[in-house]
Amino acid sequence: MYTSFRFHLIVCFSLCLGAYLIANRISSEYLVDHFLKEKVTEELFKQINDGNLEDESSLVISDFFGTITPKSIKKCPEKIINKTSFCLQVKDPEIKWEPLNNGTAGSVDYSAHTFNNTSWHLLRKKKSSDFDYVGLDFSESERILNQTWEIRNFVILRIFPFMFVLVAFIAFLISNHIIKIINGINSVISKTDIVNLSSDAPEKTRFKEFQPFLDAFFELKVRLKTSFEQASRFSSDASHELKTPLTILRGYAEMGIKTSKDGSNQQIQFSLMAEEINRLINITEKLLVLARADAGRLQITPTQVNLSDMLELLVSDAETINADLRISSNIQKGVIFECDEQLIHQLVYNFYSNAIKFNIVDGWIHFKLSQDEDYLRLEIINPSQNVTADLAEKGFERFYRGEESHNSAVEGNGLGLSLCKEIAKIHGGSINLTVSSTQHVSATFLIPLSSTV
Amino acid sequence: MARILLVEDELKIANFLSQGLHGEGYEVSHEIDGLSALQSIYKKTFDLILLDVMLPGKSGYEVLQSLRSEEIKTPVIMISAKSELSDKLLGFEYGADDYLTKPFFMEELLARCKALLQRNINTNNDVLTVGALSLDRVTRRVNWQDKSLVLSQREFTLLEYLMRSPGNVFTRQQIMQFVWGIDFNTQTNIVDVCIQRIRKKLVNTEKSETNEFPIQSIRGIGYKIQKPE
Repeated sequence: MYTSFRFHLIVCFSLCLGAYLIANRISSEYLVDHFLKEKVTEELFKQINDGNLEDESSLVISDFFGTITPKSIKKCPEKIINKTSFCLQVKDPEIKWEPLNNGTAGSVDYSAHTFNNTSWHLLRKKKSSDFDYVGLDFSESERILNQTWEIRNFVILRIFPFMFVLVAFIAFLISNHIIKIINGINSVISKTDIVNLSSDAPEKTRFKEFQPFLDAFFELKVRLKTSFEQASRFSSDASHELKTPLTILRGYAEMGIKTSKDGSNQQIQFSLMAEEINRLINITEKLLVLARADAGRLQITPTQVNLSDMLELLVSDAETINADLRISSNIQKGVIFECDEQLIHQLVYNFYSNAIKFNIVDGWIHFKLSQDEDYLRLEIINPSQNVTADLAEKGFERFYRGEESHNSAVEGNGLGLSLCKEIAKIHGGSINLTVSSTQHVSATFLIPLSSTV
Repeated sequence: MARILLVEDELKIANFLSQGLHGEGYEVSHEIDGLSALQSIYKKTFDLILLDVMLPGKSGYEVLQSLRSEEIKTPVIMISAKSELSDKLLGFEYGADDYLTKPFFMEELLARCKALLQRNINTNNDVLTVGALSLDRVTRRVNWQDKSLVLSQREFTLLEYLMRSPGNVFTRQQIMQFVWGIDFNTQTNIVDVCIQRIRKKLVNTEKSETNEFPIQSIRGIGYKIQKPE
């Protein structure tokens, strides 16, 4: 199960935004509330302590809330307010007084009380047997406060969608950038092949956190390229170095054949040597082609090749060569393919040699060649025995020669199919090896015709 | 007899090449590096130059370039372990007449030498003749005494291969590789079958006691075509 990284990032960002808004609201409500209460009580306390309370004396609480006029501040009980009922209320035993200890001058009690839907902040100070009271009508400031909250909520509700969109957009941009970098690396990696481990300039990003990663990837490519080049140069050089001694060996073996008496044992020995040297030369040349293909330096000389003719000739040869096998064919006439004749010849004959090598007693070989609009298909089928289904994978391993073929009865060097694979690849095609349940092995060379060389 | 200059720094290769060329009756001079090769070419005239590519001092390509810039038109066969197409093309671009990659069969080299030398004296290259046997490369027609007939592709290639180097013994494997392009062991005697077919086609059974067929089987090895006396 995959989820989208981009989706996750946007959700995270949005949650952060929501959390911020909630935290902001809670803290500001608390702050305003607390601040107001503190400020009001502080002022009232100062005034009640100073004893200079007068009617309608104004009280500056804060610039924000403007000036709040304490209403009906009287010296209780006689003149506490012009609303007599309030006076009674003040004396009401239900009012719960809390002692305030933020002063030094005597004890002052505080109470917040609602009367006739009006919030009051009340303070009292013990004065001989009586109390001095002061009351502040808080409804005005509450109204201002509520208005403020309303405005605030109104604004927030209008702005929030935009903020959400903005946050989502930013999250999108950030994730995009990251995904772009990852995609870039991804495409480089997926395209990276032995052939194109070329050292293009390292990828660049604006963010310093990603740069080490990209640099590391680039270095990895360079390291891979270097070691691969060393490896392929080794096999290419080794093949070259082998050629000189092989030339000398074959030269002298040939000379031996030529100079010894016809039909003598010595001549036969020389010819055996020459044959083995020939095998070595063939392996060396195959290795060289493989090394070139590995290094991406396998070149082809394309010409128009009549594959039908090539295969017909092979079939007629096979009839002579394999008198013990039934040879059949289904060859479409006039199939022309632009390819390197030598390499394709090698591929076809490799298929053929495998069909002989891995055949059964009284077996058969079937040759097929067909071409339609999309594909050119060359197939050689033969019955076999003890072939495992993993042949398709293992067959292409270098020097793999089948489960029981490490005996001398089956000749070969196990390079054939890996060579075929490279030859097919350079012609834009592929080869396929399949084993049916009836142990029929089919080797197919498939070329999509739109991409012929 | 034709004079051939062999420029090859690997003495062991030079040795058997010289012997092989001598055996064909060529006069061979040998130089081991590019500079001495050039000096030798300026002093004497040769009918053919066999030039290794990788030489100490001056490379084969450089020698070839100097030659051609001096308007020396002696045919040149490049010999190299480098078998890539680009190397070959470079050789031809510098004016080589042929390019042979190591390792090669001696007969291959001899055949190409012969072809180049013949081209130089404008002989008809289409008809190959060994004694009473002649083979037309264009029509695939073979003439043997009173018989004249056309061979199949494989038969023709085989006969031509043998006829290019009369007296030389070819192993079955060698013939198989050249004629059928098969470099693996088929465990069969297709070479013998093909030779038998050619023999049957050409030899007039009624007169067989008088006409000895020139393809000779060599016990345990293969075949050769007899060199005319």
